[in-house]
Amino acid sequence: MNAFLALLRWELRRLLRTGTARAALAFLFCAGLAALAATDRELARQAREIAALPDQYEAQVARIAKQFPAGEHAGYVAYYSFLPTWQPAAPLAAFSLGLRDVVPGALWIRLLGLEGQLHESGLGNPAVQALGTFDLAFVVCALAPLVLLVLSHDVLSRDREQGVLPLVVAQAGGLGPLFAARLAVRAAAVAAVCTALFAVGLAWPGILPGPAEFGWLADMLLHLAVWTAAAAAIAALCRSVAASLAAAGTAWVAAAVVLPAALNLAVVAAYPVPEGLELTVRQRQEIHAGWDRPKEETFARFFRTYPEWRDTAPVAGRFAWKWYYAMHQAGDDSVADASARYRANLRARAAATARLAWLAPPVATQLLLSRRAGTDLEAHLAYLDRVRAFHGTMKAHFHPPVFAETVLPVASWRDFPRFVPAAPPAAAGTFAERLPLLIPLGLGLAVAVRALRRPFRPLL
Amino acid sequence: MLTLENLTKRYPGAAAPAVDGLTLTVAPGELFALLGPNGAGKTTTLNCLLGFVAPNSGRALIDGLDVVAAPLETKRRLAYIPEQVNLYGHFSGLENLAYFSELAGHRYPDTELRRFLAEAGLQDDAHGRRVGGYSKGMRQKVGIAIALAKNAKVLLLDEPTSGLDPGASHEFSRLLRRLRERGVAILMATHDLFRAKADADRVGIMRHGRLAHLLTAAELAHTDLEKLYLETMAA
Repeated sequence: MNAFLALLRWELRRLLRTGTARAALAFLFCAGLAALAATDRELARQAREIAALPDQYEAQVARIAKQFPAGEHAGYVAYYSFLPTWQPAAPLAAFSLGLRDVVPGALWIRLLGLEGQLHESGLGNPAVQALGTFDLAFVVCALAPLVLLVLSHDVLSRDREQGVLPLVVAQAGGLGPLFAARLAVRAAAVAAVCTALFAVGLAWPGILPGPAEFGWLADMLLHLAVWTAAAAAIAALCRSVAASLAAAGTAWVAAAVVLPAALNLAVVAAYPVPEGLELTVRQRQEIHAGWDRPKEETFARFFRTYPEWRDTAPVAGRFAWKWYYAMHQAGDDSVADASARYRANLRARAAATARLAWLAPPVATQLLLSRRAGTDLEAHLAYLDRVRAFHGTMKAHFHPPVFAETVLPVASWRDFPRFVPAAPPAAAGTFAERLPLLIPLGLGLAVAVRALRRPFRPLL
Repeated sequence: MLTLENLTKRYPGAAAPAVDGLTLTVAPGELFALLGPNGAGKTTTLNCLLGFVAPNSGRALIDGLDVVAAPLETKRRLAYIPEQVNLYGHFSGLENLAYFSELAGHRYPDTELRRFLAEAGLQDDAHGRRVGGYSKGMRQKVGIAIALAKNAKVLLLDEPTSGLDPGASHEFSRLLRRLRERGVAILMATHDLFRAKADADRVGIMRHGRLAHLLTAAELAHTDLEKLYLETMAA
């Protein structure tokens, strides 16, 4: 054990004497800091936006109250009342932003048709979606493996090419402990940089680490272990630096760039999802068609969903708020199947991505990390479900006065339903979800051990 | 003790074996010089002993242990100085010596390491300098120091004086004498007929993988080694 520790000490000294290694580790650290800063900026913007919601809401109420000091018809008040909903970011979003910067974290909801309101805010930021989120999870999943491979691919081949290997083997006897020490030091250096970034990410916003944070760290280290195993296999199999460099480059480009993109394309093609915009347009078309449709027909459809208002007085004039909201309900009803399919197919895409993640460990890790951080698709759909439920609460609150054609006094506006936010659902994931990482880890190590144990490996 | 028993090594695709039924023994305290032209099989013989290549038949034994059956144990018992000593350029001579010694399981204080380097003939002011700036001869001296520090029972030398100036070469001969006095068995592959005649207890001239001539020290004293060597090559 002492001999192995001595080897580790020497290998660390050798590593740190190499300018390329120092530069690569510094690059990784700087990239990680930049990712943390970018994530912090985005989360701070979202937090400011959420923190401003109550004041904005009060200002809105005051503005309407000033316009209608004597109160107003419930339909009119509901029309102008935007009620805020939001989903706060979990602390781990600081490391794994996931979908948090491409889907809305806050929505203002009215009594109108819901589907358009859900999706009209989610149309922006396609550029960010195309590039992927630059967060610590990205640095860990994509850049750290690159640095690890750069440092580790030639732990034997460079010695062979420089003619040092025969003397090394003659002195050491076997290659096993030396090889293990070299890889361990390089993996530990990369892991240390990533862990330091993790610590900076905790200290920066003042997050107190708990089981969830340490779980995130453990998954990050598991991911690095997979790439260490890949580097071990490459280093043990390749004789020349050129070959090991080519193998390492190919492995990284395939697993971290090409396969995730290819999997995304395959999943998108296999599970077509109607765009949010398409749902919005269809819903709007249905609402607008309501203006030309006989009121009785609109109400008949509405009463199928809300039979409790069947006995209210029929609309006499050209316009009535209850008719207007019935038209909006018709809009929602017309895309209900598409909306359900939208959510089901999004979940199917997520499930398919998780299955295909067997082919690309970085994808498996990204899924685990964003799930732990509550920034994955499930978290977003959970938020939309809460908004959907809140919209139901709004209907329960406003429908009685709207259908009773009641004037709502200003004093009652304080009693409007308030959205109760919830922390995004986060989960540690199962052992089975880590198999796409554990299996390549075992395979890589097995290949390396087998290659090193081969008697009379050509060393010269 | 180093023993070769009918050792044969044929490289894949080669018309003739590189080493063909070679049998010899180097006793503790003996220096055996293997002479021969390029391709005679000298380095392949050393590589078989080092476990770098697998013999097709026969055995190579270090201290009675088969190098194939017990590769780790046999390597622990031997030290090796290659023709071209390549080291880690980012390390100083002292650091290289410390590193390679720790690889062999020996940890020495700096004073002891410096003593090995001095014994190998490396000047004091070079000990702390990076090996990247060393001449071939200086690297060779670090290689010698590495072998000394291993304190092995068997020493394999592959053209050890290549790159050394005459003075250093002479010092190296004195060093070999001291090692023999300590009971180290030395097998030296060389082209240097003068050094072989001056230092060796026995000399073997290899040709086509076989020992064409085997001369004892007494026979060497009365033999024109250069003439015999050239006649052997011409035959």
